[in-house]
Amino acid sequence: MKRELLPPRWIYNLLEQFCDPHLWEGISGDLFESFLENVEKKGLRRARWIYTFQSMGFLRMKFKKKEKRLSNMKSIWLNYFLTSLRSIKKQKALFTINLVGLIMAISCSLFALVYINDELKFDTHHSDLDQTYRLYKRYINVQEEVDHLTYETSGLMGPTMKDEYPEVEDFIRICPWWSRVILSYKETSLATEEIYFTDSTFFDFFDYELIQGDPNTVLSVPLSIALSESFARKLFANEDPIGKVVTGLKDLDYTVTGVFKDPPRQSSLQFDALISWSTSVPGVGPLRYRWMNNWLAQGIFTFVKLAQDANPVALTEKLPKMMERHFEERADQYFLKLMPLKEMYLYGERVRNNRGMKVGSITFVYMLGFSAFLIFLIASVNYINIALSRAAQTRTEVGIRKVMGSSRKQLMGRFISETFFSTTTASIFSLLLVIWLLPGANILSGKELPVQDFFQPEILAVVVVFIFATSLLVGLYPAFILSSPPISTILKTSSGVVGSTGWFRKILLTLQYTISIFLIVCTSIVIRQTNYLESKPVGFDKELLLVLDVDNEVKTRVEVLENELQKHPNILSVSTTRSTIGDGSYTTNVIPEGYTDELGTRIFGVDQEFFETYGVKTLFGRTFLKNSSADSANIVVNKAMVDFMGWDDPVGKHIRFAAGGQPVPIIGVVNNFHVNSLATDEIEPMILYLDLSSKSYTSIRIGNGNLKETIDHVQETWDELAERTPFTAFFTDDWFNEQYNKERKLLKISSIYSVISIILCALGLFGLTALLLQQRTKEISIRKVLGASLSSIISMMNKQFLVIILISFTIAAPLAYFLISDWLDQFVYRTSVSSLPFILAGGLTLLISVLIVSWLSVRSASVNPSENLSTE
Amino acid sequence: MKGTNLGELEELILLATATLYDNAYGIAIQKEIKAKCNRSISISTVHAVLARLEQKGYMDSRYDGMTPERGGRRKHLFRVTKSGQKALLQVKEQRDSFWQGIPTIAFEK
Repeated sequence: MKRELLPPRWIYNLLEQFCDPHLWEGISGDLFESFLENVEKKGLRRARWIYTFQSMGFLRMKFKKKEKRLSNMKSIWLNYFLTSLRSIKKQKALFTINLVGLIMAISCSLFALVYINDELKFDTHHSDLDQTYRLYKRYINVQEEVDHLTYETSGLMGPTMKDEYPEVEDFIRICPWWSRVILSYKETSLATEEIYFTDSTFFDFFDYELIQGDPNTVLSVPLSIALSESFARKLFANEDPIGKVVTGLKDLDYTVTGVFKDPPRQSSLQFDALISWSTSVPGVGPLRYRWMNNWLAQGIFTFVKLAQDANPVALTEKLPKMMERHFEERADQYFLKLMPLKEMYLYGERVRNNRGMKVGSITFVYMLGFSAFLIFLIASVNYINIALSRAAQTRTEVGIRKVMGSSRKQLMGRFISETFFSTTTASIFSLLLVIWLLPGANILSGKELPVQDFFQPEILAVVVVFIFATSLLVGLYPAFILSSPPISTILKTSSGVVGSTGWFRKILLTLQYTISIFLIVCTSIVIRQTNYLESKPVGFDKELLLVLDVDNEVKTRVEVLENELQKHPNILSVSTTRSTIGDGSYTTNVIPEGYTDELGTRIFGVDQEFFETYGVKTLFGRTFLKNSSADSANIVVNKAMVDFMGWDDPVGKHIRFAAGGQPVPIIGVVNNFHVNSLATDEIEPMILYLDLSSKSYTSIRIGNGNLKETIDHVQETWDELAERTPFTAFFTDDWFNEQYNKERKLLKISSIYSVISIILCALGLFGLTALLLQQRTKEISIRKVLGASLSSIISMMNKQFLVIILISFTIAAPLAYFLISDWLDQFVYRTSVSSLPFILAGGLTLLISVLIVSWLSVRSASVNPSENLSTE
Repeated sequence: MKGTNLGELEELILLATATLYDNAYGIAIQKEIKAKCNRSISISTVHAVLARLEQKGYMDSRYDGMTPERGGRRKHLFRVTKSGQKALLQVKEQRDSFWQGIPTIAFEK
């Protein structure tokens, strides 16, 4: 040909595939002829277009290739389907076992899938996600053996980074408030724990939608506040919030300058209200919080946005230099790092001091996914095992089908389609089950997954792919084995097991038991650890101790409150302090007598009644004298301090608070008590000092009388004193228990998974044993005729399973031991890994298995042998 | 099917095929109709009608006549069968009988 005068290839190929081969030559010839003619008349480009249009005209049924369809194909598949149904009907128990197993497994997987998918979507609504990083630091203090990661940064780090490094395009500072804040407008007062101080560029930096107000100026002026849509509606009802004045944090008046859409559920940052940063700047705003705006204090969070081509690793390497220039005294302790915003939610769990934000846990995601996978494995094994054991029953069917001319492929299709039927049914049931159980699962996992999350296209696509993949994976091997018997087998009457599937089945069974034992061991240790944390003595009497937050309008009238409370007979003691558990105490460096270096010590401010109210015992000396401020220059220390210093006679020793400071005498020693979660915080040396001016918390020791009536009294007293602050209080034992929510969540999920795993194992074993017994009916009958006792038959059946359980245990125990030791390592106080959970797991599996096998054996062995043997 | 009645397009294509006699294939038929009646029929439609006529038994076909302008492909040649001829004649007779029955006066004014 002269030049490449060719019609478009794709449409040519398409048409060739489509057209009846008999007509194709004529059609393509005509098309080509007309094409050449058009090339000459109209040029190549147009000719190709015309060719394409003309070709499309041929895409009609008239020219379509006639399928080489065997006319009886439809009826063959219908027959397969009917046979499947019939075999299901014949073996209802087995089918139910399989179906229940599959439903449980698919439900677990489906929930895990949606849960993980949801976790991965967190914070993805920010448009500059890839360029946004959160500043955090590694805090190393060799002397005090401190080495951890923390989100705490100082107020000047962000601005300095922007000034000194061109690749830092922008920064934002956030200071979530530590405690509850009351916002009042006219008669309405609302409490929120989600209130942030933040820079004026907040809405520019992050993608949160401002509904009312100017995004550029909304948070510029001191005492400006922006509220979430739902919060504003609650506070103002139908009034327009803009320009209104609300009384809030530190009883100041704030002007509402903006209303924003509630942060989406999948956002780490969760806030009801934003206060302008300028409010806190000394000389600008009324709060004059130097600690939010200097280098020394570490209490706020910093985010930075880097230029598109910036290298975060290179920037991190430059940061020590910045520390040396501006904050030399901590340059050898604070090592700044950058965490990508997209990783913050899931991977940030090991970084401490993250307040006011939602955090996920990659460990939990892995645990959930892994457990779901294990459960799924068990169910698949059940399916395969039971399918294989049915070989004896399907043997005749396969033989006859082969005689009738079925190919091996067709027969495999028959068995796989049966699996496909089961998986599809199970998937539909699972979807319904999961949706039905969703509210419960949401409470359990602490997440609010909406039902429509299950109908996202990607989830549904995964489910469909999953159905097909499972049907193939689970169905393929049994199909292969089941379709294997040669035609001649139907002529034989012996009932040997098809193929050498015995060992394969045993391996699968071992795998199943291994998973089950593994899960039980892990769960029981998680339970032990959680119980340990909850029941370990905390050093004071945490029961019936109620703590009120009085750092508000009640502060000035605490004496009245205390007096009123003490009038009640069931209130044994009242103490108002600066510090309580979880709040108000801090760590600082002091110089004890006989110690040259500085020692990191927890400072805890109390009043004279603290020791009695909390039930902290005096070990040496005395505590602060009541009704006297004589001890304001004396201190009490805890036992850990004495132990650390190795003092034999602690009373009378002195401690200095600064290098050149006044030595303060110790007048007494009290026992150690915990002020933080036992999971993360150790007992540290502690100094208790008399602080009668800072009144933040009122703690109430309640007696054994009527609790409800006592609390009512406290509340009534409160309501008389407080005008706009609602009554809130917590019991100290509740506070401690709340610290272990994460562990409890893990405990619940892993308990459920191990229960499911053991149920599935038991079901599988039940099915398998029933089949084996059925196959060996004659053998057992003959044994009985020949004089075998019932117990010998039971032990014969049990023996093979015992070996399998033993092997499984040997594999599962060390695996579980390593994994769980690693998990336990994160706790400061941890239970020992004793042998009990292992004995429990092994024993439980053994017991259940022996019970099932024995029961089935007894049932089949107690049939009169003549009935079984006379069938031929 | 509407009995043995021919559709208008079917009739035209049968006639064109008969006219072209030994060289009646898709493109040629399309061009013949274009020339005689000034009607543009798409090539796929021509093929569709040809296939239908063959199914009805009014035509038969063979492959022959390889030419370079067809990229080395043979032509799918059609010929009107006896029953095709009968059907054409029937149509013609029906028309003629109408024509004969029309009084000359009918077309005046």
